[in-house]
Amino acid sequence: MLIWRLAWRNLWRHRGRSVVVGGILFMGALLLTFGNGVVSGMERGLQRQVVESFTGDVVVASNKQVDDNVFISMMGKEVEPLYRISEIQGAVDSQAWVEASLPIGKNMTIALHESEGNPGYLFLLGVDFKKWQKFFPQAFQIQGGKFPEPGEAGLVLPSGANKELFQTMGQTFLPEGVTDTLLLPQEARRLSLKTVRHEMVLMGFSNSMSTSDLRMKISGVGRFRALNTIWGHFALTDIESYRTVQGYLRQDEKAVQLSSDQQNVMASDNLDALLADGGVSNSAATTSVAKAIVPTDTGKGSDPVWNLMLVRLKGEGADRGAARLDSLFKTHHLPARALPWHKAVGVIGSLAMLIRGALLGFVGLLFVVAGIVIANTLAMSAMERTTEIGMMRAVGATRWFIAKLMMAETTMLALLFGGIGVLLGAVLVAVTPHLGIQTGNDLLQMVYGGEVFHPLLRPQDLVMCFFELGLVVALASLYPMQLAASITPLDAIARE
Amino acid sequence: MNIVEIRNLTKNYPLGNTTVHALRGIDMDIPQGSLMSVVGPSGSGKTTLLNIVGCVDTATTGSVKVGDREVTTLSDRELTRLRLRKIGFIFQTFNLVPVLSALENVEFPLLLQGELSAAKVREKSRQLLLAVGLLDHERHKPAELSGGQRQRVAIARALVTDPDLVLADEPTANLDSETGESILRLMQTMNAERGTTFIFSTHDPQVLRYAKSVVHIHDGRLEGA
Ligand SMILES: Nc1ncnc2c1ncn2[C@@H]1O[C@H](COP(=O)(O)OP(=O)(O)O)[C@@H](O)[C@H]1O
Ligand SMILES: [Mg+2]
Repeated sequence: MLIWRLAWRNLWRHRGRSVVVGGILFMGALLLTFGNGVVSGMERGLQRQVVESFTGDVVVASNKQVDDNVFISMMGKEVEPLYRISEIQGAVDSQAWVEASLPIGKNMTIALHESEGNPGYLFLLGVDFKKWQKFFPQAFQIQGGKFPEPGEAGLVLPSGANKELFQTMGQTFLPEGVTDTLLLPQEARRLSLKTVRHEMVLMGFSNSMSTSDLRMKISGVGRFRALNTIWGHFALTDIESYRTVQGYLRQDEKAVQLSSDQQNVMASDNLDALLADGGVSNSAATTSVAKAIVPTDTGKGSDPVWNLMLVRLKGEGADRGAARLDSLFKTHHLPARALPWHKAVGVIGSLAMLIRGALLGFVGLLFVVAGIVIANTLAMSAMERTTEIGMMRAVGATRWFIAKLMMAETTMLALLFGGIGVLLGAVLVAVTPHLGIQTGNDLLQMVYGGEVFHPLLRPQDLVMCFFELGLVVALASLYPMQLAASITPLDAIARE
Repeated sequence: MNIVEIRNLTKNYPLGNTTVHALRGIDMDIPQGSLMSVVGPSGSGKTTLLNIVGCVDTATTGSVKVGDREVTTLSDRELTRLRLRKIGFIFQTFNLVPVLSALENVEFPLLLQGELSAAKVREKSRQLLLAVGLLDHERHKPAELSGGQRQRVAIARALVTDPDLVLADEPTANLDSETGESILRLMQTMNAERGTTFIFSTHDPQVLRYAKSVVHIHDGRLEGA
């Protein structure tokens, strides 16, 4: 009681200085809270825009896959095939902390120009459309046409892919019967609808000798709801067509297919032959038309080939989850390895981690600067009160009493000004999304946590803010406390 | 019985490359109930002597006993405890906690002791304020009191813990002579009524008549001892 009374009156007596320290605490707490809000918002945004729209928490690849960056790799870098999927998926799904898993195919393909012209390049995802939509609900918005039905072959083109193909090939693609020119790239809208194509000839771009080209129907066009400029480069196709293009054939399938006239096509249309021909464009004449094959995910030997398996976790972080899956694969001798999502998306993930790191660094810097200023001011205040403190010590106050007094003063300031700062910061975080600060820039979208700037404070974040504030104050008052407690009665008397 | 026994006490201060011999071998017994004045010119060692006896400074050599306890070997913690329970201080200036009222300043050492109930603390402190004639100023802050009034509050605070010994280093130096003499008369009264031992230092021969005994100090040595 005595200490709190003394502390309160001291603060009031030196109210000028109290306001200075309090002001720093207030601003520090405000920025700290807002900064934490931005980081949380960004994390949730990444969760929504990347993890829940495209990658899952963890990406499983073949153990032969060297490059971590399986999604946004440079052209020509092939993602290794992933074998023994049923064992891998079985092992992964049996973990209590795994929510769901989804195998996909992913590689670069070439879109062939069917008359004179340059080919285009396309990231292709081979998926089971029903399962993919269930795994990423709401991730993709169809604007024209539809997703292929089960057993149906077809290609779904996002706007980004369409735009890029137009730039490289000079051709545009829409599903049959779709006439909305707004779905075309902006630069292509003035062109006649007659030039719009409804089919695309894709050719695998892998080291495998059995890649083939395939005429695909455009089933739908649309956009990814999040980060469309990035994910929009990825076209979706049914997994059977994907495998045909990539030449991923099971042992039993291979026999059938090789006996057909496709053998012919494949022999002449593999990449070497094409390049030897001196051109890509004129090879389109002999393409086969895609016909979906009903998947037969049966026993080990006939396991279908994929590239990746996306895994969604519950109650486990991506990094730790990936590490746990890795040890799982090791103990079961499975030919797979696990990557946390941010490693699998290459520069996007690195950027996200970098921005997050920078934000946290900013908060940390704030922390340090505020701490130093507070420590300095408190130390000065202790020195100014040397005679008063020394006199109290002479009368019988212990060093601990003096330390507690200093602590009480800073605690009061921190609770009052810092508390208001945190609360105001929280209000600011709550209000900001309603201001509707928008961006079309994908990088900013990552910081904003979406198209609208949307910082976020969950109750645990708020607790964390108070904890961090307490930590700054505690650390900042250590030195002044020790300084004040080391003042002796003699220091007071010597000043007389 | 002696409340203070000093044997061969020396105190050196290092000063640059030389050493200042502030006390050069003091021997002294102070019986309980004394009202003793330490007299000497400025720089003679009065403050140094009182500080060592008052347990706020340490001896270089020699022995100092306060109430049977050898204080030259005590830790900071033990010295603090001794100051709180056995010794009262009255300084020249800077005596009071500026943010506490007169009454609260008197209460301060009792609250530090933390043994009496709040009501008892208040009652005892009021009694002492009454004794020094300042009960009607109990709510005043130090800044709202005159120099003499502040010294009275300091005396009340020094006495409130019923110490064995009260030390006052030139308590009247900052007061006009009339006020100074009233402070010394108050110490006289308290010594007579309560039997508390008082040691005060002064360089003013005028105030010697208030002391029951006098020692003269010169250049770190007692004269005529
Ligand atoms: N902290 C110190 N450092 C160096 N010399 C000191 C210190 N305190 C006192 N002295 C010296 O010790 C001597 C005695 O000082 P002091 O006890 O203050 O005398 P008085 O109180 O009688 O004026 C003086 O010469 C003074 O200069
Ligand atoms: Mg002196």
